[in-house]
Amino acid sequence: MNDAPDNLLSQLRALPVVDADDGFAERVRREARREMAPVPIVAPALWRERLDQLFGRVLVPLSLAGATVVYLMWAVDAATRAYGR
Amino acid sequence: MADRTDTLLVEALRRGEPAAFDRAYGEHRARVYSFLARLSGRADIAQDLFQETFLKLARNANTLRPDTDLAAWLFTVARNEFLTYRRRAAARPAEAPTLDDDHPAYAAHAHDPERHTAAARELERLDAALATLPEAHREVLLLVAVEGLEADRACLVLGLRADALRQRLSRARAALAEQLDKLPAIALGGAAPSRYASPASGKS
Repeated sequence: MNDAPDNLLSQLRALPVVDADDGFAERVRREARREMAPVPIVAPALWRERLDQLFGRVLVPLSLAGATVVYLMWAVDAATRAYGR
Repeated sequence: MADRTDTLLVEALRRGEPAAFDRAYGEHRARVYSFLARLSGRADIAQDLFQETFLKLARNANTLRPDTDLAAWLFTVARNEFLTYRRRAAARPAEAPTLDDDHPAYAAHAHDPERHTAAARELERLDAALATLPEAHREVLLLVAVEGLEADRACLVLGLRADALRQRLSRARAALAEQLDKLPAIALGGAAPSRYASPASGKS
């Protein structure tokens, strides 16, 4: 990248912020606050979500991998017994 | 990506605390509105999309993930709202996006020749050139250069990989430079009046 485009990006950064007028912004804020979803009676706790993540991302894949390894070992063993020696 | 302050704010939003919404609104309102105003080129559309964006934040606050990057989330929703608007408007003839004559960022300067400096005129020219770019170029420049979003956040918003973002940004910069080269010719030729001309220069 040469200097000219970088200079252009700096100029873009200097463009003034286009803000909504205060009356409109305040109306939107009030309406949005009214729309705020009610808090669920039983909010899922952070530890519960972490536990779910641990289960979904670690325990389930590990179990599947373990089951696959056991099955392959059994299959190889069975094949050896059936056709080997 | 989401820092500790953001995490606490998101936690408070998830608990449905109105004060948390006010804080998020105060922190992100100007950037999101500015992005939408320049992306759509029209204040009325920007207002509708801005309202929808923050209504969605309010309605979905309790379903935010704890590690949500709020700025990226808001820009993503704002962009999606704009894309939905564009799809709905597709049946109508495409309009070249132009910022309103009374663009609030410049209106005060435009009617005050003393303050309407060369630097301000240069920024107006840059804004005008930006408005002529295709959406894909405009949005990447708005997010990365104007709003100063970090590359990883911009990738999230635009759904691009890092190398694709760099490539698009590079093309957008080249297109903007090309547009800037064309603009003075239009102004000097008198084919189009300056959009931000002050009343003293003859524009009503």
